[in-house]
Amino acid sequence: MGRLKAAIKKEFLQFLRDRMLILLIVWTYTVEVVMCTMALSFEVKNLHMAVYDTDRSQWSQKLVERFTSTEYFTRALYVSSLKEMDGLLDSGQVDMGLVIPPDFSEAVGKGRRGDLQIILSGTNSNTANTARGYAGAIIEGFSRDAALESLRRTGLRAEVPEVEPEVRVWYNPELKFRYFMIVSMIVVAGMMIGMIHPAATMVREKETGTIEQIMLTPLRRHEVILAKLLPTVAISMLSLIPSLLIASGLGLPVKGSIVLFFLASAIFLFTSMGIGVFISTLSKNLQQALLISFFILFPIMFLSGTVVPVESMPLALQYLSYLSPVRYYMEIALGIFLKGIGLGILWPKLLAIFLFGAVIFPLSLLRLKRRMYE
Amino acid sequence: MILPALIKKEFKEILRDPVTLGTAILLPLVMLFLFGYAISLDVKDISMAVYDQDRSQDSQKLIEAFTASGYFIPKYHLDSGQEVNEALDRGKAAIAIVIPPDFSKSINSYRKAEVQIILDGSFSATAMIVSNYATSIVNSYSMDLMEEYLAKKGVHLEHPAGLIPRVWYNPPMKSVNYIVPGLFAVLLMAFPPMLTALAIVREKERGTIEQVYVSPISPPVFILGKIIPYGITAFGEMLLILAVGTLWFRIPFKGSILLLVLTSIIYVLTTVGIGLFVSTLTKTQLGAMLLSLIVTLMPSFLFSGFLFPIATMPYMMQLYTYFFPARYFNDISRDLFLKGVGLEYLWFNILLLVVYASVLFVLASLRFKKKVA
Amino acid sequence: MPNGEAVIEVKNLGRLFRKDWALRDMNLEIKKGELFCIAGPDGSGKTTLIQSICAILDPSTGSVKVDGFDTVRDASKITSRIGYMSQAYSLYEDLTVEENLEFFARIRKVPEEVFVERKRRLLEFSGLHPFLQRRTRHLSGGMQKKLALCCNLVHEPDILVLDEPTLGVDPLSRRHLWRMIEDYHSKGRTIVMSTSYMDEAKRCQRLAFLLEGRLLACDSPQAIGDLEEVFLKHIKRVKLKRKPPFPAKVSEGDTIRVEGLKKSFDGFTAVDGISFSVRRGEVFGFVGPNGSGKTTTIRILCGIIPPSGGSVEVAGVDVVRKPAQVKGKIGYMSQKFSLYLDLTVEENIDFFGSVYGVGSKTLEERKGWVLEAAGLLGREKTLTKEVSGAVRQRLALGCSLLHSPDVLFLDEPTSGIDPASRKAFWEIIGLLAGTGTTVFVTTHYLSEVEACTRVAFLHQGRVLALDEPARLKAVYNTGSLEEVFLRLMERGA
Repeated sequence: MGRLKAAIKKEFLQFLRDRMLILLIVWTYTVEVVMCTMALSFEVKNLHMAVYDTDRSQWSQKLVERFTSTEYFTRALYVSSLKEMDGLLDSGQVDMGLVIPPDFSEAVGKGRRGDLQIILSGTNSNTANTARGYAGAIIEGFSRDAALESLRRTGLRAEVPEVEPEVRVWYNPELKFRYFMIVSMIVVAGMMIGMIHPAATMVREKETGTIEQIMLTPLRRHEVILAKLLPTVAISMLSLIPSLLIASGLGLPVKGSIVLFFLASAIFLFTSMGIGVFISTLSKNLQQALLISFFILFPIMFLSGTVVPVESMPLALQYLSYLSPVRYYMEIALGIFLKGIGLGILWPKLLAIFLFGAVIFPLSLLRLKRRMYE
Repeated sequence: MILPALIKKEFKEILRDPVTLGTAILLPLVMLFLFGYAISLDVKDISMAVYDQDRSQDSQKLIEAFTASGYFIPKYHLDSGQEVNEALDRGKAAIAIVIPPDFSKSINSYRKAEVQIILDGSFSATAMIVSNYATSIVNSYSMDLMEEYLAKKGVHLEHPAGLIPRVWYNPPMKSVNYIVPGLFAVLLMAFPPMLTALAIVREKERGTIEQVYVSPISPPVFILGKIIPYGITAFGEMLLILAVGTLWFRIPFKGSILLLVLTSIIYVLTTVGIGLFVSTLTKTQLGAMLLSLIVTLMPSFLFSGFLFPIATMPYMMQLYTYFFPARYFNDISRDLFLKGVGLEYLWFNILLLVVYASVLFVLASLRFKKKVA
Repeated sequence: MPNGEAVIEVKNLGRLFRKDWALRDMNLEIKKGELFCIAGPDGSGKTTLIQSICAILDPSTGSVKVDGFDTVRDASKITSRIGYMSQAYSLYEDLTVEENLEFFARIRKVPEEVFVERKRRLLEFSGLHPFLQRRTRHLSGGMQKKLALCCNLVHEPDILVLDEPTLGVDPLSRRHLWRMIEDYHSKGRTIVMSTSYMDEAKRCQRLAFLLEGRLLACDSPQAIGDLEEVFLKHIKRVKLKRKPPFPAKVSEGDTIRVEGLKKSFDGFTAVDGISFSVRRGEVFGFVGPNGSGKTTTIRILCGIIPPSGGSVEVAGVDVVRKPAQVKGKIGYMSQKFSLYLDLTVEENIDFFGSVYGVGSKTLEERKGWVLEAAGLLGREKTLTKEVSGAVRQRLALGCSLLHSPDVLFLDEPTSGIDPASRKAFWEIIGLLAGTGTTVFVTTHYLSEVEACTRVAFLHQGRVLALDEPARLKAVYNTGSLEEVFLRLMERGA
C-alpha cells in the first residue's frame, strides 16, 4: 500500500467511525435545508391593513376592494378614528393604515385630485418598502381607471394615448423566495462543512500529538492535507444528492447542467477546505479553531449574497465581496439552477474559486511548516 | 465570603484569556458592523438595461422618468434582444426595459403602447419591490401623457387619487434601523451562553471542578459565581452594542432607556442561563461549543424574526420560534427603539422572558450535582 | 476522635460504570492519623476508590463513611473536612501562584490572618516563593504539583486525599513533595494517597493493593513483602523472547553526535550548549528535572524544531540542514500517546507501517511481533481507545518501530504506568538494543536508568554528568542513581 493510499484509508476509517459527524453533515444538507426553506422568506404577503374611511362612498369602497383583491393585502380592518389606527400600528396588528379623505368621491367624480394617505409601519423596512410599492401600484391603477371612466362621462371619445407596462419576471416567474433559499442553504452547508471539518480534524491531530508522529513519517505535508480533505469532499458530494432531490421536491427548477454544478461544488469544497486548513494552522486547540472559524465564517457568509443580494450592500462591501469564494459559488449555483446558464458565462467565476484555492493551499502548507518549528 | 472570591477569580480568568476576551468584545463588534452595513434590503441604484427600439422623444422621456425616480441607473443601452439576455444572465442588470419600435407611433395615434419590463427574479424579495417601482413609473408616465393630451383638448383632468405615503417608526425606511435593534437579541444570544458554557466545561476538562466539588461551595453559590461575572460581561457587551448602534449608526431610540436596561438584564440572565444549562449536558469544550451553536446562535439568527419575519412562516414553525427567547427580546428591543411603546405593549414578552429564565435556573441547579459521575 | 480509630470505613463498596464494575466488594478501614497508600496496576480502581472516599462519586453498592458521615447523604459535611488533590493539576492556569492559593483559601473560609501566616510558611517550605507572581501555566510540572498540594494544605484539612501526587514529577520535586506530605502527617493528620512508585508505597504505614477492582491485600508494607514481586505475581505478563524481525544493523561508531546545541524561546534558554554522542546499539538515558530541556532536545534531534545554534547529526544525517532526511531513519514516541484512538489496533499498525513504506510482507511479519510485544494477539480488531494505558503505550512503541529505525527516541514512555508494565516495556527495549537499534530515552524513574548503557544528567539546559550508571554510582559513592541525581541537582542549583 502506498503511503498516500494508507493516509487516505486512515482518514476514511476515522471519518466513518464518527457517526455523529456524518449525521451532522447529512442533517445540514437535508433537514436544515428543508426547515429553512419552508420557514424563512422575505416574501411580503398577507399584510393586514387598517382603513379609516371618512368618505364612506362607492369610490372608497372600490378602492379598498382593489387592495384586498390582491394576495398582498388580505385583511382590511375598518377603524373609526386615527387614534384607533395608532393603536393597531403600535401593537403590530396591522402593517399599514389607509386614510381616505372626506371629499374623496367628490374629487374622483369630478376629475379633481383627492389625496389618500397611507401610513406604513417602518419597523421592518423591507416590508414597509414592499408594501409602499404595492400600494403605489394599486392606487396608480385605480387612478387610471377612474380617470378613464370620468372621461367617458364627459362624452369624449375614450381614445387616449396610453402606455401599459408588461412585466415579465425571468428565472423565477412566480417570484418565489424559496428557490433562492434552497440554493443559499446548499451553498452555506458546503461552506460550513468544508471549513470547519478540516480545521477540526487537523487541530485534533495537533491536540492528541499524532501530528508530530505524522511529521516524522515520510508523508509529505501536502499528502497529509490531501488525505484529510478527501473524506469531507466525498461525503459532501454524496450529501448533495439527497439535498438536490429534496430541492426538486420543493420545486427548484434545474435549468442548467447538473454535472457542471457538481464540478463547481467539488472545486468550491476544496477551496473552502483550504480556508479550514489555514484556520487550523492559526489555532492551538479546538476551541480556538472554532472561534476563529466564526470570525471568518460569518463575514464571508453575509458578504457573499447568501442572505441578501450583494447589490444591496454599500459599494465598499461589494468590492470586498469579490474576495469571497462563496460569492462566486452562490452566483454559479443561482446561474445553473434558475438561469440555466452554462460554462460559457460561468467560467470566470469558476476560475476565481479555483484561484482562491490555489493561493490558500500553498499558504497553509507554508504555515504548517512554520508552525512545526514553533 | 466565597462568592466574591469566585467572582474575582472568574474575572481574572476572563481578562487573561485573549481568546475569550476577543470573543466577548471583538466578535460582537465585528458582527455589528457587518450586519449594520451588509444586511440591507434597501433598493436603490438598480442597474438597468435599456433596449430602445424606438429612439424617439417619447421613449427618451420614459427612460428619463426611470432615471428621475432615483431608483434606477440606466447603465446599459443595448441593441438586440440577445444582448438583453446576456445582460441579465451575467447579472449585470437587474432589470431591462424593452421599448418597441412603434412606441411613439402608437402613442401619437392614441393606441395602447406596450413597454416590456424584464426582471431578474432570482432574489424575489427585491425583485418584487423593483417590479412595483417600475410599474408605478410607467403608469404615472401614462397618466401624464393622458393629462397632457386632454389639456390640449381643453379637458382638465387630475390624478384622481394621489398618494401621500407616510412611514412611521422608521421614516427613512433604512434597513439598518431595523437590523441593529434586532442584533441585541442575536449577539447577546450568540456569545454569552457559549462563553458561560465553556467556562464551566473548561473546569470539568481541567479537573478544577473536582476541587469545587470537595469544597464547601454550594451549587447555587457556584452557579451564581458564574452567572454574575458572565452576566456583567454580557451586559457590558450590550452597552457596547447600544453605544455603537446609537452613536455610530445613529439608530433613533424612542422608548424608555430604563425599560431597555431592565429587560436586557433579564435577557442577559436568560442567555447566561442557557449557557449554564448547556454546560450540564456536556463534558467537553467541543460539545459545549457545538451545542450552544445549535441551541443559541443558529435559531436566534434564523428563527427570532431578526431577519426573516415570523409572520410569513408556516404555523408550526411560528410555534417553534417560541422555543427561543431571542424572539421575545427581538420584539421588545425593536418596539422600544423604533416605536417607543411602553410596558402596556411589552409586558407579555417580558413575562415570557422571566418565566424562561426562571425555568432555566431551576433546571440548571437541579442538574448541577457535586459528583464526578 | 482519638488516633487509631477508623476515620474512613468502606463497606461492600461497588461501583458500576456502564457495564463494567470498577470496584467490587471493597471492605476497608483507614485509621485516624494514618499514612495510607492505595496501590495497584492501571485500571485497578484506585481513582474510583479515592473519588468515592471524597464523596464526589456515589457508590453503586455498599457505603463509604468518612468521620462517621455517609458520602451520599452527608457529602457536604465530608467535603468540608477533607482536602483532595486529583491527578489532573486542578489549578487555574491563568491565575498566578498567589492568586490560586488565595482562591482556595477563600472558598474554604480561611480567616485572613491565618491565611497570611500559612501562605508564608507553605511558600517557604515548598520553594515556590520566588514564583509568587508567575502564572500557573508557566510553572514546570513539578512546581504545579507542589502548588496543588499547597492549595490543599492551606485550609489544613483533617484528612488529605492525594491521587498519584508524584505522577510525572522529577526525583527532586518528588523529594520536596514527600517532605511536605510527611511534615503534614507528623501533625497527626490522616493522609490517603495512591502511587505507582513502589518506594513511596513502602514509606506508608499501611497499604491496600487493588487488582481489577478488588482488594487483594491490605496490610503494612512489611507484611506484604516485596511489592514489585506482588505486582509481577498478579499481573498477566507477556513473556517475549523473540527479537524483532529487523535486518541486522551496523553496530559500530556513533549514531548521534551533538555539538554545542542551543535553543532559546523568546529570550528563555531551554538548551544551553550541550554536546554528547551516542554509539550505535546503545540505550542512552537522558535524565533531568521537569523543564530542564529534555523534550526540547529530543524534538531538535528528531528535526521537529530547529536549534538556535550548534550541530546535530543523527543516523548520518545533518539534522540542522536537512531535517526532512532524518525522517524514516528514526522512530519517536512522545509523552502523549501518539496513536489514533478511534482506529483499531491493527489499523494503527497498518497505517504507520504503510506511511513508512514498509512492504506488505515485511509488515505482516513485524505486525505479528508488535502484537505479541503489546500483548494484543487476538485483539487486533479492538478500538485502541478500549485498550488500557500500559498496553497502549507498548502498542505506540511498536508502531514507532515498524520501519526498523536506526534510532528510537522515547520521551517519558513509562510515565504513570505500574511497575510490572514498566518492566515489560523495558524488556522490549532490551530486545531492540540487541538488534543494533539505538535507544534514546528520558524518564523520571531512576530505577529504569540502571538498565541504560550510559546516562546523561541534564539541568537547566546543561549536561551535568554523563557516564555509565555503575561508574556514576562509584564516583558519588552511593548505591542508587536517585541519590546521584539529587546530589547533582543540589550542586547544580
